Amino acid sequence: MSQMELYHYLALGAILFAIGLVGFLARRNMIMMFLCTEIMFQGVAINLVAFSRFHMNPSGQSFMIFLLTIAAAEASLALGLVILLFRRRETLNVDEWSEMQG
Amino acid sequence: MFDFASHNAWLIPALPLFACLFIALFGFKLKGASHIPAWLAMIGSFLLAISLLIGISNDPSKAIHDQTVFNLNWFTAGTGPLAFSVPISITIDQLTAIYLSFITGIGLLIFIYAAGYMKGDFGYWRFFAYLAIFVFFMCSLVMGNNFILLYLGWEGVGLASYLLIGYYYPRPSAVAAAKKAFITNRIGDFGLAIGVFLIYTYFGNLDYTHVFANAPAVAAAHPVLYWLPFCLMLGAFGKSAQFPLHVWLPDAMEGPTPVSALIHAATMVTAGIYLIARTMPLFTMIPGNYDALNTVAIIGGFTAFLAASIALCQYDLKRIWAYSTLSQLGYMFLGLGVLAPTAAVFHVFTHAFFKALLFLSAGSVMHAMGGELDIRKMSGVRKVMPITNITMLIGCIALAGVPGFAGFFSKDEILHAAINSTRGPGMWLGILGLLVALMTAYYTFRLYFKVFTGPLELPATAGHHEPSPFALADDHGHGHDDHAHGAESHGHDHAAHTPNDGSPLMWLPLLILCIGAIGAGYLGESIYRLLEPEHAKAMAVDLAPSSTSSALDRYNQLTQVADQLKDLPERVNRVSSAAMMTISSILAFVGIGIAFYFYKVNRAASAAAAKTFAPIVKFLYNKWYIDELYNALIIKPLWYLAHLLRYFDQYIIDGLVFIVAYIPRLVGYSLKPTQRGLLQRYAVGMIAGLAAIVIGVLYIIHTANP
Repeated sequence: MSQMELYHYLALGAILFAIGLVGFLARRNMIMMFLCTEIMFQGVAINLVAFSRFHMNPSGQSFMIFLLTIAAAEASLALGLVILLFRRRETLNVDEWSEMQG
Repeated sequence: MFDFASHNAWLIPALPLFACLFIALFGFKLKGASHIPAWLAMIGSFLLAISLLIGISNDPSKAIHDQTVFNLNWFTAGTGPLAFSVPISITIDQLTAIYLSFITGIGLLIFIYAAGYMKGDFGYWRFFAYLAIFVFFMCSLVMGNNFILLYLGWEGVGLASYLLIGYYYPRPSAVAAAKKAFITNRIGDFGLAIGVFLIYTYFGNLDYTHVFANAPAVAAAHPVLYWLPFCLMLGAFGKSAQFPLHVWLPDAMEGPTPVSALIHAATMVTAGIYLIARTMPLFTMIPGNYDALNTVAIIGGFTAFLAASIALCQYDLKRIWAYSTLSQLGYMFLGLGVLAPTAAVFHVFTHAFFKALLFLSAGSVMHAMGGELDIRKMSGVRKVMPITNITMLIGCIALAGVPGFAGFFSKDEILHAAINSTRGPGMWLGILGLLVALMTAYYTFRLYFKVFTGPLELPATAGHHEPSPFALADDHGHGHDDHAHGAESHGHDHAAHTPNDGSPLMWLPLLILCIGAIGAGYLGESIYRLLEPEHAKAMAVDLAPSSTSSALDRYNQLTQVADQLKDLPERVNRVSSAAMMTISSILAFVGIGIAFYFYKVNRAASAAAAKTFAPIVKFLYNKWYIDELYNALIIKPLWYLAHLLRYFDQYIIDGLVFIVAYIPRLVGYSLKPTQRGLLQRYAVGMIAGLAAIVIGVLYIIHTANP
């Protein structure tokens, strides 16, 4: 294996982000959509750590820890909202939630 | 008196104008007394006009020229050298003075008659307001010193005519007649407007004095002015109802009889003759070219014949006089066309008297017969209406041209001038004029003998009051005196009384007009002395130049040769005056005799003759089918054009507007999918926008640093 360059890590982060993005757009299940947002978070996190390691600056890694914490908090919040939404419509299909005439 | 009049000549049109405003503002209060402001105004105007006439005929140098009223401008447009301003300036020379006298004089008599005729009518004050404004416009027409004031009066009398013909507006026939009159007039006014535009373009100025003084020079410089008299002539034909614009005058009889007498016999229709007499220098400005005058004469002569032939077979009392008016107007134009403007104006003067007399007498008969106008339904009326019998008889005699009465002198002058005319169709038109004189005598006395003599037969409505067209609004009729025109919805029936001559308000003016019908002819000498010198100047007849520069001396010199002017260089002595008089008298008596036979002695013979000549009778009764011709050639195509344009407007123009209005809807429709509330679509939108920005930034960086 050749030398590990920065762009290898950035590519991994980008791929993860892209997978998360596509999954978010293409899924109808609300929990699965949320899962994909978590994947997007992780992609960004890998990017942060890669830059931190590359520039030998601990700020990136510490920011990534923040990010994980916030992601966890947000997950609890989002799942609470999903449960409330499920109680309204008895379904996790996000398409049910368009009432605008158009 | 003359000095007051000449300094305050503006009062002559102003008094009727104030009367109109007063009646219009307070008429609903005045009601039956609305005629009083009108009478007062007319008396004032008449006194001023007469004093002006007498003053000017005594001393022609006192004629008013270019007197600007209080130095007022009517309006000014623009500034600088091209500014156009219309001063309210009046000119009162001999022609105007004569016109003003009979406008106000006969107008006054008709106002008095109208107060009796229209008594109790629903729109009484409206009627007098319209009459007063008519007199104002007519005075503006004849008193103006420039073409704009002439045009003001021209249009104004057309408007007043429209309002008065359509006075009985609930009647659809009256409304149609009013529209017809105004629109036909308008076609003529178009010609007059073009003429005024030409004058302004080539003369730069619209004042009479300036235009007439420079006419020959400007005409020589601009050959297009050859068409100027034709344009003016078209205006005159529209206003004075000559062929082909004559169709409105018979229908105008829908208006009340005083209107027919004042507007369509004495004054408005003579405005055309005034125009041509006033602008005679423009007709003679191209030396040696008589096309315009010949056209005037031919149209005049033809109209005289056309109208007289139609009058032979009409049965409506007022329509016969309407066609007679057309015919006499034709005579006047014939006189103008053969360069006898004084004769034409003289005929205007006498005709005003006897035609007004005839119309008002017919109105009295109509009033007594309860609105019936068909002469087949009445006979022997002189037994119940003696005064009207006398007045009608005198009017008929005057119209037929019996020697000694007014019509004889003036008609004779015109025919004499026509037959003795050297150039153009004058001679043939003169012979045609003699034929028309015969026809005139016949149809005039046909009416008289049929209606007034013979056994007494009255129509069923005789003695009743004509039902008012304003019937719905006529509850004011209750409580008025017996003469109120009541609706038939009244509970009680106005007791039918035998038809009589009407109130003194009606027959007194008739008697005064009789005096005029007889005596106006004898004023001919004075009128000639008054008008001929000015007309000679206008016709560029070369008179000996004056040795002194005094205007009065020059006038005296011209007067001395005035008698010689009756044999102008354009005329030869084919037929002497005496021979002319004899021939026309004989024709008048022959016509009267024929009518006497057919309608007094042997009435059955007239029915038999009508049967023999049935196709001709039908042709003449239907007015030569000219109305039908116009309907087919002009009105129907315009109607189709109007509908075509309506569809064009509805589908194409409105369609364009619809398309323009449809675009926002289209935009909205295409943007709708982005707002459906589908969460993932919103996310796609965000990502797409982000991607676009990123690509754009990269592109910019790439092109900046290759």
